[in-house]
Amino acid sequence: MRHVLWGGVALPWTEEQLQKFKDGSDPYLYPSVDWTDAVLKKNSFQTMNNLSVSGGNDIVRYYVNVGFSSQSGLFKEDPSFGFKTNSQSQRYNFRSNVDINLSKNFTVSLGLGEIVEDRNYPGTPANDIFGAIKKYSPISSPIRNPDGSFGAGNTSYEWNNPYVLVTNSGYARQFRSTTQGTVGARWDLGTLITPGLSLSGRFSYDHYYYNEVTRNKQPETKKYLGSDPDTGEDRYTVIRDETAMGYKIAGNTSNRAYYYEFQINYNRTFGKHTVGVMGLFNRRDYKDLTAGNTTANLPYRRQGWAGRLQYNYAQRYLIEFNFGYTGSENFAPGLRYGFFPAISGGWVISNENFWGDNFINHLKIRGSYGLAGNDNVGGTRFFYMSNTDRNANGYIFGSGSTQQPGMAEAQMGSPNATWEVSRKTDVGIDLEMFEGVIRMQADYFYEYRDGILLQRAQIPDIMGAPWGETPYANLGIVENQGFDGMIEIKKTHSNGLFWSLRGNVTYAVNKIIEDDTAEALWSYQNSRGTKIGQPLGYIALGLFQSQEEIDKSPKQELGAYTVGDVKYKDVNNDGVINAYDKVYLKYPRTPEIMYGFGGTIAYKGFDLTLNFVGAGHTYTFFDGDGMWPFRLDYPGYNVRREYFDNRFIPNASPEENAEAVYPVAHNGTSTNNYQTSTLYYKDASYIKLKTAEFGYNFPEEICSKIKIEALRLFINGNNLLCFDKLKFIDPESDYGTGGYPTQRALTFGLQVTF
Amino acid sequence: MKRIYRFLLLLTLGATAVSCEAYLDMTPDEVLTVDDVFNNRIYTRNFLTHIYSWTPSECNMADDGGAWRNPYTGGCDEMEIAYGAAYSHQINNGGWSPSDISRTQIWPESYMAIRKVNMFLAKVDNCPTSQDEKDHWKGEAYFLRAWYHFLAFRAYGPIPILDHYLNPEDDMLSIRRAPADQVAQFIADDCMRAYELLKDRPYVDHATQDGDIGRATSMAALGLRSRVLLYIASPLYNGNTDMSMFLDTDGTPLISQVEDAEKWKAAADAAKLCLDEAAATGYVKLYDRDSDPVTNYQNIFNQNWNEEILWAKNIGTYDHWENCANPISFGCFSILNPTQEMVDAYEMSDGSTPILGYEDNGMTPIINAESGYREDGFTDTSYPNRWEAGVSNMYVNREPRFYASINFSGAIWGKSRESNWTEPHQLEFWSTGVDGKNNAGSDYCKTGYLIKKLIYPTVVPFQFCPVQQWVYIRLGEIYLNYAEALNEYSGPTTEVYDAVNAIRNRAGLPDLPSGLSKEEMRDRIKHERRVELAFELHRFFDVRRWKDAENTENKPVHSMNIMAGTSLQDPAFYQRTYVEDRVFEAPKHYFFPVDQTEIDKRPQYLVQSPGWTTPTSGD
Repeated sequence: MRHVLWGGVALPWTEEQLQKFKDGSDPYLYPSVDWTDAVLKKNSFQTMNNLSVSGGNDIVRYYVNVGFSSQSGLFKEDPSFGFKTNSQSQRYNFRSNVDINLSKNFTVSLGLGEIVEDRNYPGTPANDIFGAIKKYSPISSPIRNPDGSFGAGNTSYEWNNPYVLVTNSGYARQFRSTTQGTVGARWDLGTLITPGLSLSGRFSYDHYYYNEVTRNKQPETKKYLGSDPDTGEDRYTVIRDETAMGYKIAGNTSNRAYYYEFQINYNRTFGKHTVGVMGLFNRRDYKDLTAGNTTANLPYRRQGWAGRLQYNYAQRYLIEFNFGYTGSENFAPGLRYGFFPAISGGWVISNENFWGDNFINHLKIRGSYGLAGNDNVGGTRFFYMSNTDRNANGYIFGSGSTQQPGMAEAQMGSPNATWEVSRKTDVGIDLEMFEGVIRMQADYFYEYRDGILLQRAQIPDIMGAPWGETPYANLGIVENQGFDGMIEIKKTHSNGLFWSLRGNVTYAVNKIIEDDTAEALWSYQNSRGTKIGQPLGYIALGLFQSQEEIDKSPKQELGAYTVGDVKYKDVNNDGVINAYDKVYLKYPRTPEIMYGFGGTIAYKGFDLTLNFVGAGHTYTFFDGDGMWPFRLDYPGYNVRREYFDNRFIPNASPEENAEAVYPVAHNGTSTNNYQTSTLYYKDASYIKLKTAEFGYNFPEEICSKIKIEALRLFINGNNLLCFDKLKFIDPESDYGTGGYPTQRALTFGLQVTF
Repeated sequence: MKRIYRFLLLLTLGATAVSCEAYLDMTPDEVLTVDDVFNNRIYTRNFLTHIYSWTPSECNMADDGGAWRNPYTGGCDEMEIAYGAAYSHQINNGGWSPSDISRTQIWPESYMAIRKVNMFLAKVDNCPTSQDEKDHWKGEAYFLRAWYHFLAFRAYGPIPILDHYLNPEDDMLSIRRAPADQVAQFIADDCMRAYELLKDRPYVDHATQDGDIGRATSMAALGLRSRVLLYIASPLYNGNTDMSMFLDTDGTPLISQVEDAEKWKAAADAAKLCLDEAAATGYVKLYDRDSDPVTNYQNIFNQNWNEEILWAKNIGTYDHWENCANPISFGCFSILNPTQEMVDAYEMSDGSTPILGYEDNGMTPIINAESGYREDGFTDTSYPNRWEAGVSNMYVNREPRFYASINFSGAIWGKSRESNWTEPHQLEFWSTGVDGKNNAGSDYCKTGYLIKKLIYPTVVPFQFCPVQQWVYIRLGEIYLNYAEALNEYSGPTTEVYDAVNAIRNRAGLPDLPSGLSKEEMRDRIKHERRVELAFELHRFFDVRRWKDAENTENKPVHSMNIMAGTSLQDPAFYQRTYVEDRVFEAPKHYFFPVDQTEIDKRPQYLVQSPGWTTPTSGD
């Protein structure tokens, strides 16, 4: 009975054939392959080496660092293929900083750094490989057929099995290089003009280059059809013919950035009065050298002035005024500059005379209010300008197959767009007790973002904006508030035992006040008042257990449905389930609470450090491939264990199905079951033991004997433990194993300082 | 010394302050505004070229979304598409809704194209070129404006009419759906404007104007006008009191509530004008070049730019849709599967009807014994280019268009991959056959049939694809438009007979029997359209405008038993088998639902199509 899947269509296999899948007696015709195991290794290796030297005298100071690290990936290789296909990276970096005092008052500094990296990958990108593992059914084909050729199937995603993709589809070699250079000068005008005055300037240059060469290969893949009953010869259908290894420059990109700034500083103390003045001018010019179009190839430019005035009295009363006057190329002339002032003040109570000797040795109350601007909306440039697309889609006229070029209206300009402004208020307190044993910090913040640049959401489709991209306007308003806190306790005992505990937490909640969307017909669907990214979905009430239940429930207009399918709540009680029954679900994906805690204990050269991180008020959807079986018709696509173990089974006993969480399998797409709903909406909060390190520092006597300054042995681990409610996937990933998984790393290390 | 330093200091600060505004003037060197485009002849031409690019690739029957939209062929009783993600499944199982209709993009893309046309028409007069060229371009633009309105109209019925382009600051929230009559009239009027402007180019002469092939012509305009006026005269739009609730928010009926016979007259006249003008060209006529009616019928679609074509798209060497139509053993997807009902609709070679209907189970055919049609046994005979010896009797002695339109088990199609594309391939759709379910993945032939009509037989999958055309409007349709409209207006006159018989004779079939009543003639014309225009995106709209859809589209479709059969002559395969239920709810499914988000922007002005969740009140 269980083999009846849906709508009375029986499985295309007999009991006998099913038995063969189970017992593996005919692994070629009735395969059962664990593709994850077939293509992934359990362990991989990495090494990291770092050497740095620093030193100098009154005239010159230097710092030099050289590093090398290598890491290999998780993919299995096929020795018969003859080329390296596993992912691997080798990274070299070096850096040197030199400061030279040209005269007593004039210092120049030069910093140079370079990172070079070579990487290797399988011919198929990792996302496609993990996608294939999710899609390729264990019973589709064997890894290899009886004649040694690779097993495959007829549907396009079965042309190559995951093993072929990982080990026999060729390889990709990547090269990356990052160059950084900084030259700076500082001129102390203290003796020349007035004490405390200095002038400095800095110029930096970054260059990035990336190159990828792919050498793809298609091996012959075949579907095995069994042996011919007459001749006894094996029969095959050729699925893909072998092709020679290709050569392609798959990536060749490069960019550079110039940055320069001039600064004037004045800092001086007159008795109990301390004054600070700073003025800054800066410019940045970033250019994508290999951009695909002329607009993207133009330098991205920004310039601005900033200033700061500081004053404090006896380190008790502090006041500061800041401003930024910044220009952006994204706005029309006249609207380019924004002025963003800020003011802050503090009172160090513990410095007051009346405070005296107190177990609280530092207490400070702070407050600030200021403006900040944003001119950036997701890569769109010059959105004040209207322009045309000179390479718009063309059309074939004539009897040949050559396209005539096309041109079209592209960006609809927003000539009135300008800076969006956020107003930030912060109140905080700093506290230190018992001479530094306990340190605490707490802040409350409130931010009101106004004039947020949005694409006009109320413009209807009938305007026909190019590609639906409506113009921008400063229309959005969002408020964000929260709490930020930190505590640290540390103590060294007289016997040499050291211990410390640390903790921090951030809690932030935002609210959309205006987003230019239409007023919803049902107030609970208004996006105003919701949080950014808060999902809109149906409330799943479970699964339909019987036809009677379907008959007496409100009609669902979300696609065909039957017994075993998802039942939704009629939120507005109008007797039908439709788009108006969606509600905003609890939390967005971005956690509202982030926290961390940890501690260190050290004694006699041994030390142990643990760091935990956690997140709360975060939900994710666990749906898509693997949870929606056979969405492109049976038997395509793999099924997750989580789905399989908890699915509704037609004709199973009501008791069995009462436990079912996920809907019945269908042959093809079921829009009723694929709706965004609470069924797949899962609490993704977690606590992770992110890092742990245990180490031993050799005593100085031993070190000095072998002429080194310090010697340390350690073992550390990443991603060691995770406590969460999801269980079956990493709570930080979305939709299961979308791509390369998070790796748990254990590192053994030796650190030598000369 | 001190002074010099001070001077240097001022100099540095001064230099930074210079030309700060210019630093941010980092605009592209040659920004072309839309107005600049129309100051240049080539750019203006390219702008028009781009507007053509929005005409859909209807050959993609399996894929939804974007400019690749054709949910219609798989969404009616002609075809079942084995690809699970095709939008036609939503239409067929009744599961489509205002929240997922955006997968088809028919509404937004039509208006994106219309905006461009209106922009073109508003600005083309500025273009420095001859009046002659401008007139041609304008003629094409008027045709395209009519065409893009029609693409939305055929799905949504009453739609907003846009005869100018909108600026962001314009009031556009209050633009309403126009009554269907006005929409049709607007389309017909634009067609007449195009006709007048393109009169000197009724068709594109291949010898002298090859580069203009594919451009709109005056004949294309007349063809579209004939179609839209036929639609608006049809029962769905003409005095359809079932649609009395389809009102604008201000109470205006969007579908005419009083039947007007003169609309049939207008439709007949429009078709007549098109046929007369075709005759006057001396070139445009029914394709009739091959003596074998099977080959001839195939070649209407495979001989590019022939004399029957009024409006078509050059789809180049795009072969994805060919792969969708070719069998598994070619390494192809095999997912465009005509239903058993479509197969049953083809007549016998003598014009008799093989199947008169179905028994109560909807599956068992009521066979017309006189026709000689049989479902049992296999034939010893063969007929070149029609059937091979050994095939099921179901596929013997059918009308020529059957052999040109349907690939069935035992039919010869293309060359086999096994022979490296040299030997003819005989199709094997039974379960263990090389093209059968047992050898397929999740793409497979779901009904035991593949579409043959429209498909280019010279394609070698993944290796060779010829330049192809996709025909939107051809003269054959106009004959049937004329016959239908005239029969409705004045009954089965000689002109009606002549028009239908012209199509039948060309297809190798005898004349219709004389003495038919108006109703009998109506049924004959409906049947003729179903067969002659199969897979050309007529059936979906025809059954709706005739208001037949609640019968034809609201029942299961059937196939051969693809799960069974081990050889060509295994009777187990030739068992009629249930594929799926099809759902059609009236009045809901007569018109597409408007995307919910579009309604939400302005519910006080834009009404939802009837039956699609129009909440009467919020909370």
